[in-house]
Amino acid sequence: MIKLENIFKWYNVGGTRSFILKDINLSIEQGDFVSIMGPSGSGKSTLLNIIGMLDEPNEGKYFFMEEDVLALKPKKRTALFQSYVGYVFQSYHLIDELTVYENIETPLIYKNLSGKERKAIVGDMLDRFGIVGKKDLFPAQLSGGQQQIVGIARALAATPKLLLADEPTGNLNSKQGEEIMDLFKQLNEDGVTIIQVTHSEKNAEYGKRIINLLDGQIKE
Amino acid sequence: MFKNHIKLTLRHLWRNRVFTILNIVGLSIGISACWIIFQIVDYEFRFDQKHPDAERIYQFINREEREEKTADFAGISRALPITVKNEIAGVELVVPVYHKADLKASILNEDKEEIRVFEQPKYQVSVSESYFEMVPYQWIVGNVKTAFSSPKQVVLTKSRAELYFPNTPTEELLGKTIAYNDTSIMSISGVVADLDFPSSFNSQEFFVLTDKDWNNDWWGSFNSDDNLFVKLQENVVKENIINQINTINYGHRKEYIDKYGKQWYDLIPLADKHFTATFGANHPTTDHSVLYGLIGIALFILLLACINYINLSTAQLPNRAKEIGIHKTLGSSPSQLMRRFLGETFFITFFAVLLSLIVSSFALKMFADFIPEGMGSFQNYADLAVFLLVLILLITLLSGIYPAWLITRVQTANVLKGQVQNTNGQSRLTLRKGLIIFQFIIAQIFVIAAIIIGQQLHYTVNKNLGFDKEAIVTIDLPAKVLRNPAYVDKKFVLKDELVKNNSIASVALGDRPLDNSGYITSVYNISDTGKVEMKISVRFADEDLLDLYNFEVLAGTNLTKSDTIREFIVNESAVKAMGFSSPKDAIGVHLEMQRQSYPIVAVVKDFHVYDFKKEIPSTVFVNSKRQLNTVNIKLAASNPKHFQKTIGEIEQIWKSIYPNAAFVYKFYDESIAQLYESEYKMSKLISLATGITILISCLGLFGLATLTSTQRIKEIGIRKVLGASVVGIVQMLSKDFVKLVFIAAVIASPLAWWAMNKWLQDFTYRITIEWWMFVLAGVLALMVTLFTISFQAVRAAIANPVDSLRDE
Repeated sequence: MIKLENIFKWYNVGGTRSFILKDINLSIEQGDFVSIMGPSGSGKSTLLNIIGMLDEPNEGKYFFMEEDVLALKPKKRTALFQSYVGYVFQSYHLIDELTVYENIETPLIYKNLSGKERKAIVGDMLDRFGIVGKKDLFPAQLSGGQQQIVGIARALAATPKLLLADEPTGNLNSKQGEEIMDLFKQLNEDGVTIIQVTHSEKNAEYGKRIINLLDGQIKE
Repeated sequence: MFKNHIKLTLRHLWRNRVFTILNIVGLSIGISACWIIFQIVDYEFRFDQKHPDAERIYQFINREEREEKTADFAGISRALPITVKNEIAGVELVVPVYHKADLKASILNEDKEEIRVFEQPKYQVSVSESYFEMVPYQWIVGNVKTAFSSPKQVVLTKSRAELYFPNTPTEELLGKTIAYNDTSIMSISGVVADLDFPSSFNSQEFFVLTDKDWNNDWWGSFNSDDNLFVKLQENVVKENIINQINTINYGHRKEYIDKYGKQWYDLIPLADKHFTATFGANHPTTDHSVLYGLIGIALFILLLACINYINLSTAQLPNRAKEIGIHKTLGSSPSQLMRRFLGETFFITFFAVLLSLIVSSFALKMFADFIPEGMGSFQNYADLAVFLLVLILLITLLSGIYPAWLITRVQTANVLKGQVQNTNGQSRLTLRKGLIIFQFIIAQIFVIAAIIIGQQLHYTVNKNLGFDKEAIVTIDLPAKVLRNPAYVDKKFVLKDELVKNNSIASVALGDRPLDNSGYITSVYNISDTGKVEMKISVRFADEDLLDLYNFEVLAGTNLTKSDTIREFIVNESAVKAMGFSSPKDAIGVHLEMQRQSYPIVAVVKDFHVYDFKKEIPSTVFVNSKRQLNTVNIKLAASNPKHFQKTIGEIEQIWKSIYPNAAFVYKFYDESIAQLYESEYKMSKLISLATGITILISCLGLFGLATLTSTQRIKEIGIRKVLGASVVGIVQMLSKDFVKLVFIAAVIASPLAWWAMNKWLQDFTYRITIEWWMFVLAGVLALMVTLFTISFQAVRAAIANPVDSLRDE
């Protein structure tokens, strides 16, 4: 599903190159559950952003579903991203002005789904994650764990094949974290490919495979 | 420490140059307006302040009350000065000032030949020695005693002397001669320095008041050109003087006053003179309400500019929150932070003042029409410097305090955790939106006004007037040519000579068809049922005038060549006024004018006889040799480039026939446009106001757009991650502002409609206000809005969400 070849990412700081990612080669099959680990500044988030097409490498090749992503036009890339990828953030990034229901609905609007379809999908999601009763609340009225569940529901609303999670439990207490990780495991068993970035050994264990990053390089 | 502080401030301003420039530009508009208005107001209020003993100087004014109506004016009876001088106790100086009606001045050389001619020099008066005892003039050459020793003498101010005798040293001017109205020759007996302060006494050329002027006892004759000033002795109350003179006046005018109503004299102090337009026929005056209005406008614009500054700087606050937080953790006290911010505001204001000095000097030139004459010559630099200093401090405090206070409220801990707090909550945003709507209402009213005035002016220029006005030059024959028996018939020679020229299509003598001046008389339509009187405007014309202007003749034939009036050509309105249904019916009808009866020989289609404010009156063309006072010349060339050459040839011919008369020509279409001069002036002012309000509104809008896109940056990032397109985001951000503009348009349109409808009522012939004018103004406002916010919106929309969503 994902194939990264010789990926480099650097910043120019005062004339010298400061490498974030150095020669990353990685392939991830459909149905996999990968945990990316590493200390702060090792390039975990950047790698995830490149996989999620939010960022571009300076060098290297990236194939997603057999497509050469870097050669695609931005419009096509957005379309590809929209139909296959969902994103979950450490600090949830819900839209404060929108209710739970509207937050989940937003990606569907951008996918140009009809009102009826949206209603069905959002209803399904609310049901699946047990937050029907909270649908008219605003993010500020929810606990961190509940907000993250809404974030995941929103990410899954567009039925992505790939779920990218950047420290999904980083802002949660351990009990909430466990719930989220159980949810991820469940999703993976349902066939969703998951790549998560985490600091926690325990959470990493939920994955089928662990990739360790150090100074921008993969350490097997 | 202080130096370090300045360095940091300048560095900060440089780093945020976009905002710095916006702030400087915004404030400098406000400051420029204030600055110009201050100069005007300061100038006006300083009038007559520096006169020695000003509190003892009064002007005599003339009051009349008849049938419960009062009529006041400055003209006094010429019997008054001598009476005050001889019979009234308590008066130190009696100063009659009799204004002259712009005597033509010709400068002669030793051989008595004209070397320079000034057709209408203003500010000429007849005075006596007392004038120079009251007004503190410095004598450069001559002195009061000798200057007024003979009636054939004239005293000039230095500026007038330099105008008449450029490059001649003042000392050599004594005894030089000037011929007035070609008849009386005067020699210069003195030159005085111009006053170095603004004064109601603005005359520049002083003649000697003759004994005949003094010894006069026409108590019942007044002329607004004849003014009388007095300087009272110390500790004399003016009521005392007024009572004395009115007793005498009543003695002379008993019959009239008892029969028709009261007429008496009053005194106004010099301090009030400049602000009393009724008594200022020959002196510069203004009105307190105008000055206070100007001060109000200045304060209003300044307030808008300050609010904009507050808007823009609070908009920047979220971006600075982190920096402020760090300063706080490093131990800066709130008062230190406030001082730092006020320092920034001070610098910005200072630069804005520098910029506004440049802006206002341009504005003063561009809008010279609106600046009081002579303002530039009496700058009081100390006053101006104090004003600027006070202005800088005032603006710094006014616009700096609130943002500075907000800065101290930044919550350090949250800021450093990376959470940009909503320092600008919903309520403040609403306040700011309200302000933007308000600004846009004002801007839209001005835009609509500018469109409608522009349309009306366009209409006045382009509407079919009923005749052609292009490529026509008119020359008024000077009075001296018309009065001089030797020249009286030369106008026909001139016409014949002009016609011979190939570049001239045709020449006619007679009145301009559209001219606000003109002669109106009564004619009588005599029929079986009696005599019907009808007011009619008279246009004198020779046999070529109708053709030259290409009038449409509805019936009948042209005028014939004639020495005296023999026949009438009337317009449609006259035909209607006489009650005929068709022009043909009027042909042959006789009308009586000044006890003579003449037949109507033709009817022309209605044309504009006066400007568009007046209705087309019944009009008659008559041919009378003596009354043909204007030469109308139709040029053959259609290309304006060739006009100047032809006019040069016309001047040659003119000079050969009237060697001593000035050649003054005017293009007729330009003369017509000049009828609407005050409207053009107004249009210029409205455009200026439009520009200022739009500019200030846009600055505010830009601030608001920046603020919202900063506040919503996280939301925008999320939406992009969720798949929103750049266009979609820009649309989302613009929608709110479009709403604001729409609300403003809805409020502004009826207000503007009401005001402009009122303005248009002045015109008998006017455009109708149409819906598209409002739509156009709205669309313009919308375009300006979108243009202003697009920069911020697009920037926010194309930003990489990775940056805005980064957590660490």
